[in-house]
Formats: sequence, C-alpha cells, structure tokens
Amino acid sequence: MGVKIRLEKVSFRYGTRFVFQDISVDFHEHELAVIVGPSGQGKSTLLMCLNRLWEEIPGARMEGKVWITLDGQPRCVSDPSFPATTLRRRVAMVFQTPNPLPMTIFNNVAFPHKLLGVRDRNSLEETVRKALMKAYLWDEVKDRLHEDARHLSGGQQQRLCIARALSLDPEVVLLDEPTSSLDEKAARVIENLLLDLKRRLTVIVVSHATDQVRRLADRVFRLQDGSLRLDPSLSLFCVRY
Amino acid sequence: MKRRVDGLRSEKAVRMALATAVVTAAALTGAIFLYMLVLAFPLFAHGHVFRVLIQDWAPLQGRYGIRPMIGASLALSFGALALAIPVSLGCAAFVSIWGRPKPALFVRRFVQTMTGIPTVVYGFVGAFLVVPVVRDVFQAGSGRCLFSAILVLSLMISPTMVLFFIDAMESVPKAYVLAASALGAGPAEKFLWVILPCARAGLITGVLLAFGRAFGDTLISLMLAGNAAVFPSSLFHSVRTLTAHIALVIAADFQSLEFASIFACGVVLYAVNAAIALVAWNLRSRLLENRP
Amino acid sequence: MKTTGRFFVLNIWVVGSALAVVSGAGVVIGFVIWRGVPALRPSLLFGSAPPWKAFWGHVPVFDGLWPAVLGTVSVVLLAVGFAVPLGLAAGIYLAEFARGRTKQMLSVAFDILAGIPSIVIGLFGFSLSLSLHRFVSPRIGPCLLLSGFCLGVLVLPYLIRAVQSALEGLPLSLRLTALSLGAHRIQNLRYVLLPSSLNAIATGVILAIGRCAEDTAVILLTGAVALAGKPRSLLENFEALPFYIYYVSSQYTSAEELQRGFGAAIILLTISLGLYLIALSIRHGIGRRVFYGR
Repeated sequence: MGVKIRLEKVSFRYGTRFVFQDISVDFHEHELAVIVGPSGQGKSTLLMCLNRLWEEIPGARMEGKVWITLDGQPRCVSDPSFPATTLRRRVAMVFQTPNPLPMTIFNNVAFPHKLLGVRDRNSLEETVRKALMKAYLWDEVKDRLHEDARHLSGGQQQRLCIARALSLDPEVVLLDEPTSSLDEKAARVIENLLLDLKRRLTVIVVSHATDQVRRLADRVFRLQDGSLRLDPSLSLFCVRY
Repeated sequence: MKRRVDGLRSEKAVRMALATAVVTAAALTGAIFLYMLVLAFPLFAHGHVFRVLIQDWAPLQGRYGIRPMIGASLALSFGALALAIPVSLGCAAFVSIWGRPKPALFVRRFVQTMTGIPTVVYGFVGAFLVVPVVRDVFQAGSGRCLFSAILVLSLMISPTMVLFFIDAMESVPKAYVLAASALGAGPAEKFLWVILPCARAGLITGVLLAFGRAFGDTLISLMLAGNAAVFPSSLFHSVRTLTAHIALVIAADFQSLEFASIFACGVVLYAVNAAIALVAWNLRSRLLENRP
Repeated sequence: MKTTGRFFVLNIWVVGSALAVVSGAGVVIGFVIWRGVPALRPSLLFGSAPPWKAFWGHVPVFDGLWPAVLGTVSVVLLAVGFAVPLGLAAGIYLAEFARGRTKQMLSVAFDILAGIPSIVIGLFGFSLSLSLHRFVSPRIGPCLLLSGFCLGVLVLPYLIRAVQSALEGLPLSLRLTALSLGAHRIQNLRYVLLPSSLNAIATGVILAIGRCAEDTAVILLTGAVALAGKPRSLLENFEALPFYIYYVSSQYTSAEELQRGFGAAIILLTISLGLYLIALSIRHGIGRRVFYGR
C-alpha cells in the first residue's frame, strides 16, 4: 500500500504558542485513519495543515513539509509555489458543523464547479447527481434540488456537505468530527458512507467517540501534548490489515 | 508577508484596485490636515505659533489670536460633559442593570432612536425654547450664552454616551457579578464595586469620544452661544467656539489674516480630535487584549 | 432588596437620569411637532406656486421648501454615490487583505478621519475649491458637486467600518467554506461573503444617508445658500433643508418664515428618524437570517 500523505517535521503555532511540534507521519492510500485526542490540542489544526486552510487564519504559522501523492506523483503541497486552490480541490474537507452555503441544494453541490467556470447545464446536472449518489443523499433530495439547502435536517445537511466536497473527485477527504452534531441514526449512515468511500479515496477522520473509532478505523493516531503517535490500544480492535 | 504564487491575474488586479481605494481614503486623512496647515501658514509666519494660540482676537488692532475661541470650546465641552456624564451613566445603569425589563427596553430603544435626531434640530429648539427661558429666568442679555449652549449640547451628546456606557457595562463578565452576589453584595455594591471598575476602560472611551463630539460641534454653539469673540468669563456671557469662528469668518476676504485664522482653528480642531482618536484607539486595543 | 441609604440614593440617581434623558428628547421632539404641525400644508413645500406644476419643476418656487428638499436629495445622492463604492472597496480590503502593521495603521487613519469635526471637513472642501478656482478654472467655487464630495468624505469612515465589521462578523466556518472548496479570495467574496453581509452593509449605507441628509456644517461652507431655486447644475449653489433651518433661526423676518422653519424641522426630523428606523429594522432582520433559519 503506497504512501498517500507524508508529514515531515511539521510544527504549528499561533503567534508564539506552539500547538504541535515536529510531527512526522505517513498516511497510506485507501486507508481510513482516525485521529483522536483531548479537545483543543490541535486535531482540527492538523487537518488544516493538509489542505493549507490554516493560511486563512491570521497569526497562524506552519513549519515543515507536507507531501501528498496526487495523480500518481508525490508533490510538496506545503510549498508556496503549489497553488492552494488546486490543493483544496484534490484534498476536500468536511467540517464539524454542517455548513451549507446560503443557496439551493443543487447550487451547493455544483458550487465547486461553478468556481472553475463550468457553465454547461447538462454536465452540472450529471455531476450533481453523481455526487449526491456517492453521498447516499440522492433519493432523499432528487425532487427538491432547488429548495434552499438550509431546510434539510442536520444529517442531510452534513451529507450534502460531503456530496459537495466529493463533487470534484478529490483524492483525499478530511473530516473533522463529522457526526458529532448528529443523532445516532444519522451518524451511522455517514459512517457507512465513509467506509464505502475508502475504497476509492484516502479518508482521514477526527473523532471523539470511541465506538465510532472502533467501527471505522484502519489505524488510529493520538494527538496529545504536541505529538502524534499511533495508538496501539485502539488499533488492537481494528482488524483490517 | 508570505508571497503565494497562487491566484489568477484577475485576483491580483482586483486586489490592486481595492488597495488603491484604501490608500486614497487614507490619504484624505492626511490631505485634510495638510490643507489646514498650509493655509494657516501666513498666520503662523506673521506671528509665532504660540502667539496665535495665546493672543486675543482683535483684528482691528492687528491681533489675530484664537485664545478666546479655544477657551470657549473647552468651556463648552467640559461644561456639557459635566452635565452629560452623570446623567448618561445613570441612564445606562438603568437600562443595563437597574430598571425592570419593560421600562429598560423602552428607554434603550428610545435612546437608540434619539441618536437619529439632527443636530440642527437641537439647535433650532434651543434657539426658540431654551434661549428665551434662559433670558427670562437668569436675566442674561439675549439668552444666547454659554449656559444655553451647554444645556442643549449635553442633551445632544447623551444618547451616544449612554449607548457606549451600556455596551461597556454589559461587557462585564457575568461571572464576576454572580461571584459578588454569592458573597452577599446587594445591587448598589455590585454596581459600585464590580461593574463600574470592570467597565472602566469602555466608560473612559465613551467619555473621550463624547468630548470629541462636543469639541467639534458647530451648529449648537453657532446658534446658541452668542458668538462674541471674548474669553469666557461667566456662564451667561456670549462666547464663540473654534467651530463657530470658522463658520462666521468664512465670508471674510480670503487674502486677509483674519481669514487665515480660521485655518488655525482648523489645525487646533484637527489636532485635538486626532489625539482623542489615538488615545481611544489605544484604550480599545488594550481592552481587546485583556478580554478573556 | 434592602432599602439601605446608599441603594436609595443610587435608585433616585439612576431612575432620575433615565427620566431626564427621555424627557429631554421628548421635549425637543414635542416642541418641534407642536410648533411645526400648523405649518404642514402643501404651501409649506410649494409656497404660492401651484403644487403639481411646482413638483415637476415647471414653475419656480420662491417661498416654499421644495427647492431645499430637492437640494438635499441631490447632495445626498452625490455623497453616497462617491462614498459607497470607495467605502466598499476600502472596507473589503481591510477585512480580507490587510494584515498586521498595515491594517493597524489604516484603522488608525480611518479612526482619525471619523473624528474630524464636520466643519473642518467643510473647511477642507472650501479650501479645495479655492485651489481649484486658482489653478484649474475660475468657474469652480462652492457648489453642489463640492458639497457632495465633502459629505462623502464625512461619511466615508463610517461606511468603511460598517463594511469591515460586516465581513469580519461572519462566522469563521462560513468564511472558510468556499475556500476549502478551492475558491480564490475574490470568488469567496463574490459568491459567499458579500451576499451574506448585504443586510449589515445596507444598514450602514442607510445610516450614512441619514448622516448626509442632516449635516449642516459641511454644506454651510461648500455651497448651500438660502435662495437658489431647484438644483440646476453641479457647479452651482443649492438649497438644503438643514441649512434652511439654521438660516431661519438667525435671519427670520416674519412669523410665517419662522413657521416654515418649524415645518422644515419636522420634515428633516421625519426623514432622519425614518431612515434610522428602517436601518434598525434591517439590522434585526439579520439576526434571524444568520442562524440559517434554525
């Protein structure tokens, strides 16, 4: 199994306060890795290092290198010469609280393509349908694509965000506690979806719920006290390799 | 600043356009001051800078000092603040802590709406309501005097101060107030020993900004203070503020030194308000740092 | 609550202050209404000219407020036309692109600009016209265009702050969403941030309009006069409501004129308060939208 993501001595700080230091770790292709750890110690920040979203936050600084294999080639994505916008289309992110844009369901999922300048109605419709099917949402919304996305339930909104993230065919998906604001039934649907996604992509999830971790993870990493380590105690329950 | 080779050329162009706008706007700030200085120059060159500020106004005798106007502006501003601060503080306390919910909400909405009353309307009412009363009650000449202006100006600056004070008081962390209650403090003690001290920075900023407004006000002093260019010696005498001086002398021959004196007033007004803005900014950034 | 001495005194002070403020403003508004209501007839606006013809400008109005109303509307439109695009651009820059030292210095500059007394801005405008008169063309003097520009300068810092705080007040997750999908900063602004801040920005614009309509000190020095008829050209003097009110207070020659002054005061008060209430209602509309209908 090839290396999909490599972090080399990555450190992160807000101003002078270090969040984590010298993290070096590899994530494998087609694995579902889960990151656990105490609150507020940088799990979301670690995800943001992978799609350079940290650059939009004032006062934030990252040191070290991040390599991601894209289209078969390892690329140093942390380098400023690599366009962040391109990176974010190949490495998608889903946030903890569903954040549908103030638009229709259709426009939400089509949005990343509109950003690229795609205008053709037919191709947009096809893309949206495929993405909503991948996110297990198509059947529920196919008759109301032009309703405001904010009218959906919490679980549906989160799947919408996943569909939106998937619509550009990314190679990696990052999910920051994707089910923490949802009820158990909705959470299970999303967990199955993630297990399904792993076949085509690499999935990295931040999670708090121990049983969710056990259900999902190929490998479990613990981010604590500024360093990231493989967590053997939880990984014991994961019989995937 | 990190350089990102990201971004279309159009993003760079738009960013450049936005930056130009910002620079233009900021340049206006400097340009205004420059104009004041340059046009006041004949006056400053003719007599020393300090002479202009210290001398009295007697153009017929060749004296173009703006001391009386400075005195009047200060007297009016401090006088208005003296009236407005206690009243605004009390009103703010009523809205944020003391009053029962319904009356407090009414007062809050009323004060918010009050900020929309035009200054010239205050002045107009002052001219036809306050001035005659002052004239009759205090036997004060025409009634157009420092006192009338102070009364109306203090009413005008109150709403903004009240809103500022309310904001400051409501920003005091509820945890402190609860802690005080748990220790047996009554409403009076909580107000005096917890809320006021914690809200101190916000309160001071509010006072500063109100002072700036009072110092820079034109219409009320122009319409109500009498406009005699004499150093204020009594509440019931006519005075002329820096702002009113500008409005009155603008019609003079613009080659004359009399005319140049209005730019000296402009320089003083600008400098005082710039100083206030800087101090307030300083206070506010320190406030933001200390907030939990 | 124990009625200790300290509590009692404070009580009187607090309640009394609230009463004082409310009744003070109440007296002002009440006085204007009391003296001004008798003046509220069509002749207030159109004088002795036939209202319909005067409204369309076919007949000049000499003893009515209509030219002043038109003048105020014109100068406000000019001011807003100048200040809104510039303020929008500068506010966007401050919220999205400026960082660190630059941002601080720009903020201070705009704080200072906001604090400059209006008469000083009027003086700046007047001196500008002197320079233009000397170096560009003797036709230029205090006029509608100059007043519009100076009023624009007056409200510019408020607009900048309104735009900046509207954008910066958006929740972080909304600000990051489009970016996480590969949008450029400008795309983010255009498709997500600006549409989401429209309410707050609209509020700012309306408040700016109110400020321009009521200002007297700036237009006093840059082109407002007591008698000019309806605004005909950008480079000529004009009449305005607030100026009329000021003028009447010191120069009125008849009871009728004074009455008109009060009528003007009611009109101006209605405009200012009306705009303010509109802005307030828009702002409360935001509160419900931001929570995404939940």
